[in-house]
Amino acid sequence: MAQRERKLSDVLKRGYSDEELKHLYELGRFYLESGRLSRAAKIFNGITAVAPEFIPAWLGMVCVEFGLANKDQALHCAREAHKRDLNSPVATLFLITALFATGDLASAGALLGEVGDILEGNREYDTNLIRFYQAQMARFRSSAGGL
Amino acid sequence: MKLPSIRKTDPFVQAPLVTLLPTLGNLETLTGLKTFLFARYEKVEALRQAALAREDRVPEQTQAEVDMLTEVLDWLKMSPTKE
Repeated sequence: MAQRERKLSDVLKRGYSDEELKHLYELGRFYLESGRLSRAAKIFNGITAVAPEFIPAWLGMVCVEFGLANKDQALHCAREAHKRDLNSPVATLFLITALFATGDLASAGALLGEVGDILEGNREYDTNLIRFYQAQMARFRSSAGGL
Repeated sequence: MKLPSIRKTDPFVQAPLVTLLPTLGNLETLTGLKTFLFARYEKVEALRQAALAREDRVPEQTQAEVDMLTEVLDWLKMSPTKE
C-alpha cells in the first residue's frame, strides 16, 4: 500500500489529514463487517470523493458493490484502487476477483502471474493474503480449461 | 446436537475479501474528532445549500462528503440540523 507523507497543503486541499481519513475509513470498515452496506458505502464514497488516492476506501467499495451484486461497479472500484498502486498485491487481488466475477479470465490470469511474482519476492505477507491468492489460483486453474 | 458457534468460525471463510482490508485507524479516536467533524459538516452543507439556492447542480464531491459526514455524525449521536 503506498504511503503518503502528511502535508499541510493536502489537509488544506482536502480538508482532512491522512490520520483523519484513516479513522473515517475504520467506521466504513466497521459498517461493512456488520453488514450495513448502505452506511459503509456512504463512508467509503465520501472518502474517495475527497481523497481519491486513499486506496483502502476504493477496496472497501469493492466489497460493498460485491455485497450489492453490482459486479461492474465492483470492477470499476477495483480498477481505481489498482491504478493508484500497481505493485499492491491486495489491490491486484481485488481486481483479479472482480475480473473473475465479470468473466474476464484471461486478464485475471495475467494479473495472477504478477501477484505471484510479488509474493515470491517477499515472504512477509499475512496468511489471509496468501490463502486468498491460492484460492484465486485454484479458481483460475479450474476454469482455465474453458479459455 | 449442539451446533458450533458462528463466532468461532474463521472470518476468512465467511468473507475472504473483507479480511484483506487493512486496519488503519480506530473508532475511539474518531469520537474525539466530533468538533472537527461537525464544523466540517456545517461548512460543506453550507456549500451545498448555496449551490441549491443558485439552482446549480450540487457537485458530486460535495454531496458525497455531506452524505459521509451525515453518516458519521449519526454514528456519533450528533444529528446534524436539517431543514
